[in-house]
Amino acid sequence: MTAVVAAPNNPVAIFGRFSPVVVVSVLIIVVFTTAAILAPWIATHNPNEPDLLNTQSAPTGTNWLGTDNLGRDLFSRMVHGARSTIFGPVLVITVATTLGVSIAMVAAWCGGIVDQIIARFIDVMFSVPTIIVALIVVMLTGAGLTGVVIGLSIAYVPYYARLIRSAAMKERSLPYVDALWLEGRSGLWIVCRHIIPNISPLILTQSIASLGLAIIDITALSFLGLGVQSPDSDWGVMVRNGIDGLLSGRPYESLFAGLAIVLFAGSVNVLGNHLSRRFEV
Amino acid sequence: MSRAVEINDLKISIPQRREDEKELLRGVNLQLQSGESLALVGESGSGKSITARSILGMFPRGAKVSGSVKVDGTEIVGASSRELRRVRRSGVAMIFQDPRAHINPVRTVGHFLTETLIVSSGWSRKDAEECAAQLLRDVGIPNAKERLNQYPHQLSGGLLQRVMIAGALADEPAILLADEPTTALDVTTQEEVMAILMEMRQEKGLAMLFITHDLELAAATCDHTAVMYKGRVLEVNTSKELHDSPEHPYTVQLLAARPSVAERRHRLPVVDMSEEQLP
Amino acid sequence: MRRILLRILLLLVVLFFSVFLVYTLLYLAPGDPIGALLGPQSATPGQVQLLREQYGLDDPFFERFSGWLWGVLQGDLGRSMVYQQSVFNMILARVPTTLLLVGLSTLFIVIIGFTWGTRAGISRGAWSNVHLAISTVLLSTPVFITSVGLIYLFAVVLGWFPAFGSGSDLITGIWHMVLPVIALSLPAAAYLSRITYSSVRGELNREHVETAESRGFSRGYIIRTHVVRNALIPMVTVAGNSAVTLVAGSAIIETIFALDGVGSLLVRAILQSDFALAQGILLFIAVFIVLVNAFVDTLYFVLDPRIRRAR
Repeated sequence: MTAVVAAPNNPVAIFGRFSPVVVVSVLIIVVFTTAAILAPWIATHNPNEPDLLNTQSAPTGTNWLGTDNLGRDLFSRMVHGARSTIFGPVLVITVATTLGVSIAMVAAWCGGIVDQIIARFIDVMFSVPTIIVALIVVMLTGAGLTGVVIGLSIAYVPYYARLIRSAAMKERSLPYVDALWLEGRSGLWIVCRHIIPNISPLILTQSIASLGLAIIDITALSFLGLGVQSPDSDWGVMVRNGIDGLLSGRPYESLFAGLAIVLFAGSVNVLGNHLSRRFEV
Repeated sequence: MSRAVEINDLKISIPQRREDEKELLRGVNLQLQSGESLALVGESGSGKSITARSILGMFPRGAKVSGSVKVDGTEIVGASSRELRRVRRSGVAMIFQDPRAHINPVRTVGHFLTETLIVSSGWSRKDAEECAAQLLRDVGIPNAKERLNQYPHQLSGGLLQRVMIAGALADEPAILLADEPTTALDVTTQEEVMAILMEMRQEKGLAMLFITHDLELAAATCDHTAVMYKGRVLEVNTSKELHDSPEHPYTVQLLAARPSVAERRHRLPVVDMSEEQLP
Repeated sequence: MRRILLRILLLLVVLFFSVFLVYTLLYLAPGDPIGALLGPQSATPGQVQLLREQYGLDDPFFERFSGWLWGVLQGDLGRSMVYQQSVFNMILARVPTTLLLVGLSTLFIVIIGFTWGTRAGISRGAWSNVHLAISTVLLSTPVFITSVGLIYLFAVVLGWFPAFGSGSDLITGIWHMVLPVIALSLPAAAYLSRITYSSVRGELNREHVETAESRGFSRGYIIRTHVVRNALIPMVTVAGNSAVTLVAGSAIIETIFALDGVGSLLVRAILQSDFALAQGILLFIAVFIVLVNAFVDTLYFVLDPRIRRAR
């Protein structure tokens, strides 16, 4: 038998594991995110400037993806819209992860009645669809990106809290935690230095998996007109805005924006699946 | 005496992707006469269960099979699924090790006992239930009628194994395969279940292949004993002969390795076989 | 019998709490209902005070809650401030559309998800890979994009189905429902089929299936009696959950396809800050969720004898 021992920093050994689908997905994520960051420099036009003489145009040399019903350049709107479409969900996931992990740690560490109350509360929250939670918050804050981000952040907390709580419970019951406890370490120290690092692969995987969902939810809400407000753009808004054109046989705006959402959300999902298989969580 | 089961040079292996094939059986020869009981003894992984399952044509998925297995003259290796189903339905029944896992948990005991009669033999539900109740009484379960409506989780392991025995007897087989039927049970119920099994076998004159790793139990319950090791049958003899004057060195070691109350030893000897000692 | 009474009691408690939660949430709403009511009109402080008294806005919390709850029990959900109509009547008029949409979709999801997942689960090789690929694509496509795609393909290009509206009678109503139902169902059907697939796969490898094989039953009988029946249990949970998410999805679908249902009404109520209306609809949805969960629990009870005895 010949053993094949790969050098740990041999790039082939690291990237060899990635299937082509994963590589393409990572590329899509990187390209879209870079475009979002560099939007002001990449955009060829002012995304909010109408040109009423050139509406509903098909893709041309100057308007690479065509123009919308007000003659605004679709490529520039896509690139600028990528900002809220990509960073909105990232913000949602960051807030939800922080809140979810904190709640889960409190539940797992305190145990007893505190845990019971938190667990019941999570269960109740869990049975309400995320969109409905987000709708309630948007109603309280008024339509806009802020309300949508706050709403979705709250809506995603139970997903994290539930999963992380059970993982933390399992981790807490391990003998090394008792050992540290007997050494006189504080609960907070053990949680921050040992429990959270040990379940961090789970947290990361769950974050990426929910990022895919957050992209879908946030674009859906802006599609409904509850998120980013006119004249600013967002891929969900663009799918909605393009429906009139689509009905008259010019589907470019809805088509490109929809395609961008599916490609990006799909890539994030592929990456999430890949990571969860890799960390075996 | 006719041969109920005849296994000749049965080899089963699973092709592996990288390494060599994994050999499960390396040429098993075994005969079971009608009405006779044969114990199959050996350590875990020696191929006892695979041998028993091959009598039903239940080979491991993706396995390469060669040799011959004949049940009442029907060749099993390479048989069509229709033929296999016929053999499984009418000639041979199997009792599994863990009744808790091997009986469908969401169906009633009655369903388990009557389904062969109704599905394979075309009985009416009423007749089948009548028969199932009688079978339960035969294996010593009181309140048979009520038991039929109960679910497996409501019965103890010992009772459930009796249900399994009753279920195996339902389609009146000529050959019974018992795969460690008492291993998953409490020590106290093991004896009862074993007694019922032996009684049923004798009453109906069935041939039985009894798998166990308990040499004493094999000697006490079966006419013949076969010793298996690493996918081969090393020795077959009458249970008494095998027990009193074992021929194969492995059997000798196996017998020596049994703990005994009469003779306390600090450490039990270890069974250790080198390849040269194997046939 | 006692157990059933206990469950009904528990159901009532859960219902009460969800109603209380909905009320409290909107009670805490920062907006000024009078301002929303008046819109651009200006009013003197005296007129505002009159309106506050008329709507009972200055009473203590529990008094307002009990008064509101008493009204709810009598079918009085208050008046929509924007539409100046009874909220109860507004919801009632739109319930049939939403129920038809959600009902047809649930049916579609269960049939497609179940048959497709089982088919892929019992086959080896190609079928299961095709299943995995299609369901992955469907699962990462948002409902609203599927809808827009379906409208473009079937309404604009092919012209087979209408793109918008509810239709005038039952036949045209169902005709108008075809695209919305497909759009709403596809992701949930894909998800259900995934769950069905893995639970069928899991059951196929269980020991009791080996027993059934040893008894010489046909593969079809074993799958029908010992695999699918056992695999039903996890599937019911998923089907129940998807019925709940369908209500949320209907808000999106009804808005896209201009169906006059409860979901699109909720979106409009939120956009127009019509709190009484939104509160009524959320209450309706909360009750729906609680009832669906209770129904799923009952189904469990029927399907799994182990739970039946344990409780």
